[in-house]
Amino acid sequence: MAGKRTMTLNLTEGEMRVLEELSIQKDISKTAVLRQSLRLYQLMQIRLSRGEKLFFESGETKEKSELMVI
Amino acid sequence: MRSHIGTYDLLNRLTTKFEEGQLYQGLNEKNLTDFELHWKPLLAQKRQRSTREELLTANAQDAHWDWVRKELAWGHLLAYEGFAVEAEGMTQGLMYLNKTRFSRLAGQLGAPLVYVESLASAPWNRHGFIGKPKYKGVGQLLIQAAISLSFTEEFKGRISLHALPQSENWYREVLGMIDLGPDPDYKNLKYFEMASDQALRLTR
Repeated sequence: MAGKRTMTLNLTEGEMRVLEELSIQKDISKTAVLRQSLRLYQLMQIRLSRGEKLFFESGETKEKSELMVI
Repeated sequence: MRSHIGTYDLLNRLTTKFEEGQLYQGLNEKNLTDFELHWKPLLAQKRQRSTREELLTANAQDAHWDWVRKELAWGHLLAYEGFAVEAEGMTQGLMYLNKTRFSRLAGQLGAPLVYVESLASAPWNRHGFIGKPKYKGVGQLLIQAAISLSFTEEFKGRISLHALPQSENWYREVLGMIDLGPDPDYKNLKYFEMASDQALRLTR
């Protein structure tokens, strides 16, 4: 893995709570949650910049709902 | 950026001696040139002259994969990691992993895992493709790298993939991955997962 750099992160109580919840749910550290978030955000940004849309599909009904991202 | 992960033994079936194989994280220009100049012509020729059934028995169902395009599409993204195996100055195996997928397996549903987007050994290492395949162990080494990355990412060794029919048995019988059946959302290819306990067994 490439060299790592350290940064200080200031989060609100609510943001920290969500980060902790995700960390517990996914059984990974808070740093790993943030890494995953960054990867997904980059992927999403690239697809959206091509004019594509982001949808969630219901596993049962196959109904699609667009995730509005600006 | 490419980094050298380590040196591992590969069995040269032609000499029955072990030779050093180098495992790299990240693909470089040489890997892509090796693919273009040495892999692709063989795969293209096989594809042109074979029926679907013949491609299956020749272990060449990936003959349409273009690793240069994969590198262009994924090489700059944080979600993906490329790996290459080299021996005798030649690229012997290539793999691309995706680190943003989640488990579908009961008991670890929704847990993050490393998804194997594409994995291929050089055509001359494949049974069925040529009479006497050369190196044994390239695919296994790449799968070990996927498991290792999964541990590094705190995913506890969990990996998954969609298998081409030619490779289903290897993933099921040799690696002991769990077969979750055909995936209608992915060309009906069978979806396999490796749980943490099996990953631990394989890396011991």
